[in-house]
Parts: sequence; C-alpha cells; structure tokens
Amino acid sequence: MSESESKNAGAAPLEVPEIPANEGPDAQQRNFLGTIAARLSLILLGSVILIATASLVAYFALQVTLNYQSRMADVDMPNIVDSVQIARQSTNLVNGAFRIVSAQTRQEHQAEVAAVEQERDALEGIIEELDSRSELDEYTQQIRGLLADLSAHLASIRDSAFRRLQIGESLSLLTAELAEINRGIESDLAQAIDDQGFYLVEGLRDLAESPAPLEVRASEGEFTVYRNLTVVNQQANLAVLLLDEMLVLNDRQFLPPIEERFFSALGNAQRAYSNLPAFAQLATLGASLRQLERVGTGGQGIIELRREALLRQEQEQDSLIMARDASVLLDAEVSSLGALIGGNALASSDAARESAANGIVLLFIINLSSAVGALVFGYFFVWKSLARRLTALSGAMREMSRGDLEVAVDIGGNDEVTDMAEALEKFREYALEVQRLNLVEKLAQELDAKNESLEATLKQLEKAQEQIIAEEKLASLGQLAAGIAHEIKNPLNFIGNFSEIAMEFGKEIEELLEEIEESDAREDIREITEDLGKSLNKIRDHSKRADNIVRSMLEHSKGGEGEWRETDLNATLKQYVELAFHSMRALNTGFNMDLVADLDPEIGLLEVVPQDISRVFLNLATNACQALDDKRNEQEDFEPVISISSKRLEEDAEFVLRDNGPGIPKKIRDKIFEPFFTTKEGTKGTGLGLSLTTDILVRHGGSISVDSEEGKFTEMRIRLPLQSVRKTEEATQGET
Amino acid sequence: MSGRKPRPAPARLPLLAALLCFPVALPAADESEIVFGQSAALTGPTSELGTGMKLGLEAAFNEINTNGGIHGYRLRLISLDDGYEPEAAIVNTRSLIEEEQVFALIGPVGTPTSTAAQPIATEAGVPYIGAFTGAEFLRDAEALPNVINVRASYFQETEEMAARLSEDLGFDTVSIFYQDDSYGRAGLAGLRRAVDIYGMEIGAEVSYPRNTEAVKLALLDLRRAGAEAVVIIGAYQPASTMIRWARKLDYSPHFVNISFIGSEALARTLGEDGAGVYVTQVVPFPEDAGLPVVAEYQAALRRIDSSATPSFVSLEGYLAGRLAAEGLRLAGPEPTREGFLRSLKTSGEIDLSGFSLSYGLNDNQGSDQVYLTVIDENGDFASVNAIEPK
Repeated sequence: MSESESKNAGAAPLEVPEIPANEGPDAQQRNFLGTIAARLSLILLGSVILIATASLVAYFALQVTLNYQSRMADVDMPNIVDSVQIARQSTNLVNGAFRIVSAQTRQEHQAEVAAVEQERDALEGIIEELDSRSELDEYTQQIRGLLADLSAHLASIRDSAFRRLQIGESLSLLTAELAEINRGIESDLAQAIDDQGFYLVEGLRDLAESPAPLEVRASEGEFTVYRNLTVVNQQANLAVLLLDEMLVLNDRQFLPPIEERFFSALGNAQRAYSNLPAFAQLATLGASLRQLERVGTGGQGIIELRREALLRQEQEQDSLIMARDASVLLDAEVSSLGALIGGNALASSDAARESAANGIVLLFIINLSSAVGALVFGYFFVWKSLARRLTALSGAMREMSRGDLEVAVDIGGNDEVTDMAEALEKFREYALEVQRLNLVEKLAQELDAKNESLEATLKQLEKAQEQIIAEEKLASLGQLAAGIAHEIKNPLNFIGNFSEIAMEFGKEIEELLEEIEESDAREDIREITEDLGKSLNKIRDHSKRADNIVRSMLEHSKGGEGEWRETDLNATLKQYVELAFHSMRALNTGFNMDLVADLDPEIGLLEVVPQDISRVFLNLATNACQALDDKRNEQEDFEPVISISSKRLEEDAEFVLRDNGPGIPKKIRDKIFEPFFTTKEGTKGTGLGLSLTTDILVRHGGSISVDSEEGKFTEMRIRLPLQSVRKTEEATQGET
Repeated sequence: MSGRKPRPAPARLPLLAALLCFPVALPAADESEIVFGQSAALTGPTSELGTGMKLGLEAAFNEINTNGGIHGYRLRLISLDDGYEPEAAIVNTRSLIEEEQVFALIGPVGTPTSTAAQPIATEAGVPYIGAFTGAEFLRDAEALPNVINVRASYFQETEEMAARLSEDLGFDTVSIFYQDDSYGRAGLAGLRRAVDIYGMEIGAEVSYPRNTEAVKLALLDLRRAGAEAVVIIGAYQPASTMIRWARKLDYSPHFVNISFIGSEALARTLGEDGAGVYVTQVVPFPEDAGLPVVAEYQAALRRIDSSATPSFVSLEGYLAGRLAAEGLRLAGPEPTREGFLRSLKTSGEIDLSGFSLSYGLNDNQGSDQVYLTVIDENGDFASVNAIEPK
C-alpha cells in the first residue's frame, strides 16, 4: 500500500506557481519617439530623402552631359570621320592615278579608271554629307574647288595613259614585224654573200655551169657587188639594232642622236643595195629594206610612236605631281576643317566633362553627409542604445539556457529591448519555480522503481520458499512411502508365497481326484479346484505387480547423493512412463492412454546416476500425462498417445518422449526451462521441474530440447553421452 | 573519230552491270581516249623530219587502236607545225599543254626547239617522249624527270663516227661542218669529246646559218684546210648543197652525217652525188623486215598510207609511239602521268617486238644502238660495219 501512495503523490498535478502580477510593458506610458520602431522609421525616411536628392542631382548632371555627348556623337564625330575620310580619299585618288599610269593593258587601265572615278564620286558624296550636317560652307567650297583641280589632272592622266597603251600595242606589233624583217634580211644576205664570195673564188654560180674565167669572176665589178652586199648586211643590221635600242629607251633626250644614226645606217644600206647590179638585187631583200624604213620612220613608225610615248610619259609624271600638289592642298584644307570640327568637339566634350564634374561634386557632398549621418546614428543609436544592450540581453539568455537561473536580468533604458529584458526576467522567475518542482517529482519516480524491484525479489523469494516446502514435502513423502513400502512388502511376500503353495495344493487335489471314482461330486470338485487355480494365479500375478510398484517407489524415494551405476535406460524410461501413467490414473480413474515404444537395444548400459535420470524421465512423463489429461477434458473424442523412442547416435544416446497433447505456445517455448516458470495453477507445479531436469542433464554432460506444435504435439528430446562424463572427469583428473 | 571504242571484254559484263546499278559517273566520251601532242617542223627545210615522225607515230597509234587500244583507251595525236623555230615551238607546246590538255608530248623534232619546249613540259610535269634529237641536255634524267628518250645520243653517234674514222681509216684529224645553232654545237661538243677518246684532233671547224644554204664559203674553208674526213652536223638541204658543190669542185673527203640529217631526204636531194656518203643511224634499217618490229612497222605504215615508203625517221616515230603505248599499258587502267613515267623507268627491259629499250630511275635513254649506213650508187641506203677507204 505504501508504494501506491508514493506513486500517486508523483502523478499528482504540479502546482503552477503564481506569476507575480507585475505591470505589463503595454501598461507603461512611453513617448512615441522613444520607441525603436519610430526612430528606425525616421532614419529610413531620411535615407529615402537623401537618395532621392542624390538621384535628382545625378539625373540633371547626366542630362546635361548627354546633351553634349549627343552633339558630339551626331555632329562632331561624323564630321571628324568625314574629314578623315576626305583626306584618305584624296590620297586614294592620287594613288589611283599612279596605278593608271602604270597599267600595262587596256583592261587594267579601264579597271583603274573605274576605281578612281568611284573614289571621286564617294569623295563628292562625303562633302555633300558634311555640308548638309553643319554650316561649314566656307571650307567645303574650298575643298570642292581643289577636288575639281584634282579631277582635271586625273582626266588628263587617264587620257594620256590610254593613248600610251595604244602606242604600246602598235609598238609591239612593229617589234614582231621588225624581227621578221631582220630574219629575212639575214637569210637573204647570208645566201647572197655566200654565193658572191664563192663566185669570186670559183667563178661558179650554178652547179650546171662551167667556171667563169679569172678576169670575169675577179673583176672590179664583182668585188664591188661583194662589198655592197656586205655593206647592206652591216648597215641593215645596224639599223635594226638601233630600232631595238629605241624600243627600250627611256630618256627622250637620247632619242634624236639614235634617230640620226638610224637614218644614216638605213641610208647607207639602201644606197649600197641600189648600187648592186640587177642580178644581185634580190626582190625579197629590197622589200625587206623598204619595210625596215616603213617600220622605223613615218607617222606611225617606231621612232615617232616611241617619241610620243616618252613625251606622254613625261607629261603624265608632271600631271601626277600636280595632282599630288592638289591633293596636298586638299589635305591642308581638310586639316584646317578638321581643326575646326575638332575644336567644336573639344568644346562639347569640355562642357560634358564640366557638367559631369559638377554632378560628381554634388554627389560627393551628399554621400559624405550621408556617411557622417550613418556614423552618428550608428554610434548613438545602434551601438550605444541597441547593440550593447542586446549583447547583455543575449548573454543573460545564454546563461539561463545553461541552467543558471540565479542572476537577475536587468537592462536599463525604456524601449522594446527593455520590454524583452523584463519579459525574460519573468521567465527566469517562473523557470526557477518549475525547476524546484521537477526535482521533487524525480525523487518520487526513483522511489517507485526501487519499490518495484523489491517486489519482484520478494515474489521470487516466495516462489523459492514454496519450492523448498515442496521439496521438503516430497522428501518426507518419500520417506513415508519407503516405510509403507517396506511394510507392504512383507504381506505381499506372504500373499505370493502362499498363493504358490495353494496352487500346489490344487494340483494335489487333482491327483487325489483321479483316484476317486467318477461321480458328479468329483466333477464338481474338479470344477471348483480349476476355478480356485485360476483365482490363485490372479492373486500371484497381482501381488507381483504390487511388488513391482512398491520396488519402484522404494528406488525413487532413495534420497541423497546417488551413485553412478551402469543402467539400462531403455527399461528405466519405459518403467517411469508407466509409473507416471499409473500415478495419473490413480488420481483420475477416467484417464487412459496408449504407449508406443520404439527403443534401440544398441544403446546398452549407460553409466549414470539412475535416481537423477529416473527423476528426469518421471518429470517429463508426468508433464506429458497432465497435458494429455488437460486435453482430454477439453476434447471428447481425444485418444491420448505417448510415444517413446531411443536411438544410438555416434557419440550420444537420444531419448525422445512425445505426446499428442495441446503443445506449448510458441511465445513461452523459450521460457519453460527457466526456474520458477510454470503454467500450472496453484500448487500443482513448482516451476522447478524442467529447470532441475536441465541441471541434471547438464551434470551428466547431456542436453534437452523441445519441439512442439500448438494443438498437436510436444516432443522432448534428451541426449546423453555414451561415454560417461564421470569417467572422462576421472580420466582427466588421473592424468593431472 | 569521236565514237567510243567498244570494249572487247564480255566477261566483265556482270561487274559492269553491277557498277551501273550505283550512281557511278560513266566516263565521258573524250575520257575514253588519250591524247598526245607533237610540235615539229611540218613545213620548211626540216619538214621531212617532222612529217616523218608524225607518220610513224600515227602508224603506231593506228595499229594500237585497231587492236583495241590500251586498257580500252584510244590513242590520238595532235601535231602542230613549229617550222623548226624555237619561238613557235614554245607557243605550240603551251597550247598543247594548256588548251589541248594532252597527256604527253611526243616526237618533237630538233635541238633548238627542244631546248625551248622541254622546260615548259618539265615545269608542267608533262611527259616529253621520244624527241628526235640526240642532244645531251635531254639525257639528264635527274633534272628532267619527265623526259623519256628512245634514241642514242649525239655523243654516242659522234663517238661511233670517230671510232670508224680512227679504226677503219687510221685518220688522226677530222673536220666538222655544222649548223650554227644549239644542234650544231651539240654535235660539235660530241665530236670534240669523241676525238679526245680516240686521240684525234679536229681540223677545220666551219658552220652555216640555220635555215639557209649559205654553205659554199664554208666548203672553201674545208678544202683550204685539206680536210679528208668531214663530219656533218646539219640539215639535209644545206648538207646536200655543200656535198654537191664539193663534188662539183672535185673535192671528195669522207662525209659522215649524223642521224638528224634526215637520211632519205639527203639521199634524194643528193641524187647521184650521194654515193659513198655515210650516215649514222639510231634505229634499225627500215627495209629489214627480218626484225619483227620492222615488219610490224612496215605493215602499220602501209595500213595508213599505201604509198608511203619506209624511212629511218618514220621508224623512229613508230618506235616512240609503240613505247608510249607500252608505258600506258604498264601504268594500268587508270594511267596518270607520274604512273606512266614511273612504270617505264621501273619495268626493266622493254621489248618492242625485238627492239629492246631499257630505262632506270637515273637513265632516261632507252637505246644505245648506233648503226652505220652508206648511200649506194642507186641512192639507196645500205647497212655497213665500216667506212671504206677511197
């Protein structure tokens, strides 16, 4: 009863301590400006105003800068680009003129002229654009004028170069013609000179002729022919060479002397040719000389064409120089235009820079004052008023979380932090109260646990006590049974012995009856003696049975340390199963069962303590019989069967006792070998049976296991070593 | 001419049919022929050489095409006239390579023309086959990987001349009458080299201008020098003029001509003055049908021109044509210029029906054979082994 009281006390509801009814923070009257929220709002408002001001300043400064920038981008920069373009284009034009002059074919010439014209058109386009964009008429007029000059030079170069190319084409035709003429002259003269020379020596002109006489072939006339032929050969060759020289000549000044020598050579050749007699004037040679004259002289001859080409070349050089000069002037003009445009651009750029600088200064001032304001605010409000006190508050909270509830929370001031500190102080006080109550409850719980364990111990003690009593009872019952058995044994001997003797008498009566005459009486007596014999037989048998039972009781009740003896355990098993059955039947006359035995004689004799092992067998058999009886009571048509079997294994002997009773529930199957475990009600069992059984078997070096199926069977399996444990122990001890 | 040659290989039909199932481009009509280009003198004093080479080449190509071509390709010849002038040879060679896109140049005639044309062919990597000249510069196989010569060189011919004059007649002096150009100077260089070998000297060195017959003063120089043996490195027209005038003057040294002279033309222009004039040859005697290649040549010649008579020049052209065909055959069914040149140079001895040619990586001259011939009283050529003393 005392336990339950203490338990009740532990479970009783805690008494919640009364919270001191201080005045809440709400109740406190506070100036609105004193709150953190208000101060933060004010600061935020100030910041917004500052940012807006800064944005406005930046906006206006940028606007002004942008205006100047766009003027630069839309007017000044394109103007600069255009002026650079103009300068470059004019250079391109002059370069184009050079390319026109050095063109080698009409196609090249045409392409270069087209390119130059395109450049010039582009240039005019740029000037047009420049004009439309800004008022620079003064300059563009000048530029236009210079461009017109340049164009005029270009046109003259173009026309002159074209004519020069035409001349070049004519000259190359004349060159080929000249080569052909030269080949003809050489060929003709080689033949003629060869012929005339041979004639001078041999006087023969033809294979068919006979030689001319010396005064004919070696006459002055024939020598003159030979001389004139060689003169024509030399002078014609010279004339051709001079024309060749003219074709490659680059200096116009040297043209007249070469020309003079050409006319001289040509004249000499022609004169020598005309001096030849008719037979020696080869028609082809004459034609060749005339062709030479035509190719060299005349309006379309090499000399005149070459002269014109060289003259044009010089003129083109002059025009190129003038074009370059015009281009230089144009460049100068464009440079001053560039300077003007550059000045404009610089002014725009300066203005933009000034406006940007002003903006920067204003923004700097605003930012500086913001920074100072932030510092002041930070020091006085955030640091002094908030951070330090919050640190103190968090320190106090940390202390409390560590379990130290003894230090009071006190933070000065009069704002939300103060409220938090006060609330925390309330929590602390409450927590202190709770802590105290918790301690009491914990003690109560510990007491409960101790009580429970004491109770369990007590129960075990009680059970052990009951066991001891049961053992005691059993022991005294054994002694009693031994005494009774001893007393019964004598009368049983008498009954047995005298029934034997009575049977001897029966036989003697029968022998005597043989001697008596046959009569009805004799037959009657014979019948009576026969019945008597039968009765005596029954008396003898039953007395023997009674004797057996008594002997079993005696053996079983022998107490104290048993001896190790070689024992036929097959017989012992069967005997004790029967004993258990009879004990059961003695208690409960309705009980019956079949015993099936399958025992292996190979097991032979085992050295055991027979008293202990028989106790094991009896124990198991009694359990089986009780289980079968329980089941029989519940089930009408149940036929109880116990089967016993044994088997010799390699090192062990195995004994199995199986009943078809209700089985052992799975959940308790593991517990049945524990001491004090029992399923039997009241005093029917001590819970020590199977525990002792286990002990005994372990002592014998054996083991026990159980197999069961609920509602069907239970099978106890015992193993004992064939080689006795005692012998092994002795052997081991002997060795040591 | 433009029709494709039917392929004589019905066994290939299944393969062909299989190929036709796939989008394989069939060769265009002009891809079934291989075109060769020739620039040679077809007009002028040297025209017999150009036309002779052309005739021989055409005879060879016609024979090959009649027999089914090479790997199914027909061979075709484009001949252009350069009149033995280097400038014209340059123009023709460019045109053949760039416009006609010929596979190879074949049968050009002359040293100055080859000197001008060969660099163009070498630069373009176009084979230059069977030039009718023995000039030494074409024998530099390393510098000119595209050149394939058939005939022996002028060095070999002049060496044979010197050997004959020295060994057969015991002469220690030999004079030379040469054309004043690179051909003549090539012969002069060969002769100088040859007389050194045989311990001889050169007597008179006289020349005449190309494409003229201004030879009589040179003849007087030879006579004045007392030349007994005159090696002639020239064209048949001036050479025959010079020999006839020599006969007229009763001046009779041994005249020995080089193969380039144009043998038949020389014999014809000399007429009865030709008897005893020697010519070295680089191809077999064209009338000697005992040699299988000559018999085939004669048959091929008759097939294209029944009136044509066999000549040294056209035989040389025929051999060049046969060699080109053999090169194509060796180069396989998809001939490239490189493959063509490589297979000629790496195939060892090439036997053209008894006329054997052999090339190597550093040897672009197929034949080293020099034959000596002489014009008899009938103006016909006879093959001889020695120069007869007067």
